[in-house]
Amino acid sequence: MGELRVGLVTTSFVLPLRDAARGARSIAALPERLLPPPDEFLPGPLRGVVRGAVDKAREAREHTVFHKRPTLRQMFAAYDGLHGTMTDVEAVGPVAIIIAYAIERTLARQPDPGYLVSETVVAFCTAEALRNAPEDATPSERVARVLEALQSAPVITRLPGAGGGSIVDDQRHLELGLVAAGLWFLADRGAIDADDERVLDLCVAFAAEGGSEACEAFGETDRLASTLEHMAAMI
Amino acid sequence: MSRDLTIAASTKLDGGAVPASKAIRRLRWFITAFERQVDQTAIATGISFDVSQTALVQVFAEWIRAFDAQKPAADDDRRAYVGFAAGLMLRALMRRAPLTVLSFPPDADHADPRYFWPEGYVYTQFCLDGRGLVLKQDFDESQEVIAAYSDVEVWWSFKENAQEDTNLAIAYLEMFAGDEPHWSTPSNFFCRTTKGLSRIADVSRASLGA
Repeated sequence: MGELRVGLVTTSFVLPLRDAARGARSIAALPERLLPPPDEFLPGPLRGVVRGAVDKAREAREHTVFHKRPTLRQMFAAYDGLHGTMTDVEAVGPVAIIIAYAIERTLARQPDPGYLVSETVVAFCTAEALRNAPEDATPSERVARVLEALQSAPVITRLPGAGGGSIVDDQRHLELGLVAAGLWFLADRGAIDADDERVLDLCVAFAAEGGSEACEAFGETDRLASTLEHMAAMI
Repeated sequence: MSRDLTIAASTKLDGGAVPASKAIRRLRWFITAFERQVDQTAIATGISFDVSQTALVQVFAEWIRAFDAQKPAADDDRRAYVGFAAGLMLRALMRRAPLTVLSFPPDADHADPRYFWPEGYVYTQFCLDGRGLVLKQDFDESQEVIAAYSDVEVWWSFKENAQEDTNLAIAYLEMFAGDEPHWSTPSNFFCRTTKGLSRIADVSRASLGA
């Protein structure tokens, strides 16, 4: 238990910084969506200034490292982490990156993806869930416990100025993103390789199409674990 | 003119170490095999296609639901279910339409089914190949596609009927594969099972007796 806390201290500086950068990237995306109609009505010189600012924001977003997919090393560590071949302390960071990415990809499928995903919250809940998991828990049970811990946590926040649906919709998107991550962790594979980036995207798409049953199983750990296992066998 | 429109299934849809009947129920295999089918058709015909990954995932999700919903318990019905499941796949492909033709080559012969309805051809050939591979591996049975498969008039009727009622795609696939097509109940597997056939026979006898 103490070991895990030490692990979190080392990541406690990194994760909020990643969240801050992620927030800057998301907010940088907002003017692009909000400004185009009004800027038609601005006088010429002012229109140029506004458009220049939007271009700068777009440029900043495209250059941030947080726009990238998880690296192979992160995927390898995350997979090993949830399969119990790595200590929980080492696993938390990479696992959080994968889960946050799966949620972001799920949210990106929505018509107005104005959300912020907190990797910090994901990491803390993941650490808590892994710490409380029985030592003899199977990989699917460990995954189910982590996802359940995240389902009721404030993992996503709607950005100011962004439109979108109801709180119920937001919760549904979060659950589908979590299911996608769960499928990725449990999908059978010979080895983690470059194709795994694609597998993660397929998991996101498959969860969006067929994840309802898994979403309904949140709150019943055993049922969630077996539903995820059944679905993951189809990936 | 009769053309050979088939491609040896084993050259395209190999499931590797995993048996085809299992591999086919995996999303990664399905997408890779389908894309390979599209590539081979593009090379053979000069037609260029766009493949929608989103629609492909929808096809797979719809198919796996339909597959699980009618999967028979009796071993006697497994063979018949292979053909039926291939038909369900064709129906899902027709409904979700993951392929779009981007361009034809200048010398495209539209009396050839592959140019007459390229998307339908790719969907059908993919399902026939999958069906053939599973029958070969699990039942040591060779699939014999009927001669009318290369007849554009048959494809004209296939296209019109399947677009009006996608369930009929299941019966057309049975016909192309040389099985007895179930035109009146194409999407109901029970009518093809041992138990279902016996029930139908009972009902027929009863109605004749009455």
